[in-house]
Amino acid sequence: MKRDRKLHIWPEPLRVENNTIIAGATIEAPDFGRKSLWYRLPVEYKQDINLGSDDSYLLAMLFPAMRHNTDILVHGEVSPSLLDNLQEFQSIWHLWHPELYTAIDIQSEVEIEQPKAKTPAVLAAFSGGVDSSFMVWRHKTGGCFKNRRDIQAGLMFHGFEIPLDRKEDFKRAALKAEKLLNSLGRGIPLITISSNNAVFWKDWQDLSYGFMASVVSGMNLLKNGYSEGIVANGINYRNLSFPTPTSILTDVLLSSDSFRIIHDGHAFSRNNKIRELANWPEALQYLRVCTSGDDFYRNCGKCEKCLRTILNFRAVSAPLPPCFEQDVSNMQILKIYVPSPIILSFHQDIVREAALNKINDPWVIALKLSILINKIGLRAKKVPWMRSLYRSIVR
Amino acid sequence: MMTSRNCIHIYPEDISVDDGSVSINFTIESQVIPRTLLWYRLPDQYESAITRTCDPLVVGILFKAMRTSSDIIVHGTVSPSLLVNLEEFNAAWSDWLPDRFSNINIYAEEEKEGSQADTSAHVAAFSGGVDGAFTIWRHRTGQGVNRQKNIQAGLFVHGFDIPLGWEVDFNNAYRKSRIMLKSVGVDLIPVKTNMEIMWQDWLDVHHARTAILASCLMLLQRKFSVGIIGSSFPYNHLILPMHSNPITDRLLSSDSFKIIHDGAEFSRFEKLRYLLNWPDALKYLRVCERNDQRDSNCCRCEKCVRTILSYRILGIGLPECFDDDVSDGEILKLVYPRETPLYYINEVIQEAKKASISEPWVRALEFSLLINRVGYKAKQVTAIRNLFQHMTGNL
Repeated sequence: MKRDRKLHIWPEPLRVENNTIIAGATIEAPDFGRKSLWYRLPVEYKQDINLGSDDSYLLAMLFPAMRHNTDILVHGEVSPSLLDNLQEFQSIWHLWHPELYTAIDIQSEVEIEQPKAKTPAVLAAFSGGVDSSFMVWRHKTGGCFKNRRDIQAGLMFHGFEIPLDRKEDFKRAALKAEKLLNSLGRGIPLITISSNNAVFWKDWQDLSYGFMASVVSGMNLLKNGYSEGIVANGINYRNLSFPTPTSILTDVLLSSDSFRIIHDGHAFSRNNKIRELANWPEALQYLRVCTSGDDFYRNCGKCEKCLRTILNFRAVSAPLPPCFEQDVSNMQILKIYVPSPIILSFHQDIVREAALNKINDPWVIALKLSILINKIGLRAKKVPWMRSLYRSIVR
Repeated sequence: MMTSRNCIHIYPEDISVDDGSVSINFTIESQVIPRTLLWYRLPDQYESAITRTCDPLVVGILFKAMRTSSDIIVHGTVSPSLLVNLEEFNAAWSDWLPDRFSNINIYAEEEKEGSQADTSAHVAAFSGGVDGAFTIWRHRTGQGVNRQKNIQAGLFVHGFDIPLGWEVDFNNAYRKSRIMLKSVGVDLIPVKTNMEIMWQDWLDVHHARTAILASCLMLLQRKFSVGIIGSSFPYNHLILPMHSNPITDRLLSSDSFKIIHDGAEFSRFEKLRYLLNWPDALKYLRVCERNDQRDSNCCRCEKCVRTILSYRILGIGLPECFDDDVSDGEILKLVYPRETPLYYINEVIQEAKKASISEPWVRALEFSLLINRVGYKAKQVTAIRNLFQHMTGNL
């Protein structure tokens, strides 16, 4: 069904300012008016940018257009293979969240496949967290059999989990990520990219669900130099349940014939990943898992994700790594608030792993109790009055 | 290629042409499987379409290797891109069902991509059922799809739901399916295979069937670039692990032959609604796998009954492909086979309610769902299972 409402994407020519390349497009739509979408990255990567393709801008605007029930018209070139995949991608999101996302019509002035990068290099999305660190570690140290990918660079984003105005935080986080990547073999360069893509998101749901499309849009810019992009995931196959913001089911549909997206890591639990990372001294020092603290460049040591990661280390019988300034108390464990069933399954995995390693310390009992409390809480969330009561108790 | 585990050796044999059919043969041998000749046979006009790689057999035998914890050693050529994908496929299944499937390695004497078809023609699995029929119908007519796929042929496998030796049944079923496809300008290719002799346990056959189907599609990769498998479940009701699903089906692809899982944006009921526009489908659909005669629908099994009832909701009464209608008493007595998820029945009930149908058969179906749900639960308790089996007699 075609709509009268259209989101126009007008690609702009590349610019170079102060050793930075700026790529982008002008966006025009009923809900946004006229706005610029931009990406900035260091000038030395100019030759990696594909000047012909506008796939990146389409990917960046996909979730905003689906959210605002607006068709997309790209006044440029888009890969037909990407359009094929995005049809399926949209159908999935529409079925999962019909109240949020509609399947829209996408048209482009020119549909043409772009040439693949001359060398089969792989670009990894890298944030310095457990999943992306494990991914580069395993591909660089031989943890794969046939599916080992030749990761040539990591790409770290500024403008999503670290807001654009927190420049110093991003700089410090990127420095840690750089140290991690440099410690592997002959070292992997870290490319930093910033983008204002988030200004088109309506709320936290777009942030959560549209995040991966935005990451891939940034990776796609560099498809002259890289033929594949690899992204990590935190949920193993056994715990997969849908809808989930990122998974092998949807992420690979962000591919085109000239730039394929590889989804990595469903085959490993977080405990398995931590066990491997415990052998990587730089990871113990520079891992950054926290997205809730006041400082975006370090682990707060208090949020659910920090506490869970500390317990992952305990469950695999590894000591507290230096990337956490302080350990967790049993009382803190008891008070952990688990926001979703998937996160709860991660906590259950920790208990199982502790049992496998014959760990019967009091923290395991505290975690079991916390799981029980959160299970009740998650059930209660389904009933409105119980949800309010539970929230007031938790607060 | 050294491995200390059990190994299944695959030896490709010469392709032979005899009496109008071409036979593709492989010998397999392992510590747990005696020397066995596995074969695929199809009309000799397709000889030039057949791949010379061992890709099809590797895919066909994968579940057997995972089940018996055996590495696969191929004394022939395999596509490296297929090996990469199968590693992830294997990881998914061994994480989903670790007690049943192990992680294995696949070694090939030569790793080389198979030659690709020089057209964009697609071949779709087709046995006359709802999912395959819907996939072909929508891509040939453009109904229910924005970007049509170029389906040029269907592939009907003999040796699955219609056992080898049941020649009359297969010929009749093939004839009906051929009439259906001819009406939309699609050729139907019959393939016989003895792959199923590797299995004894019904559950193993159940898990392996999509991989075997994909292996048959893959045979024809010099003529077709894509093989399509119609979806069983919609994206918003995915059931994992399931032999055919959008996550692992596409991991049966290589760079020269892609497998696509198609139609998961639609429920079975919605597919039937689209098929109302195809008169030959109403006449020749074959949904039943339990009839003594495999070329027609028994009209009594759970699958036949829910299809008949779906047509009732759609307001066309009993379509010609069913000889007999179903009574309320028969609905009440339905015993769902163990591999049938209750989701399908629930879908029919929900659709009846949406259509404001409150006839006695809806209540009969609801009651039957309740009884079977209790039965499913009871099966988990041995004593009750025995009692239930005694009462129903035919579980």
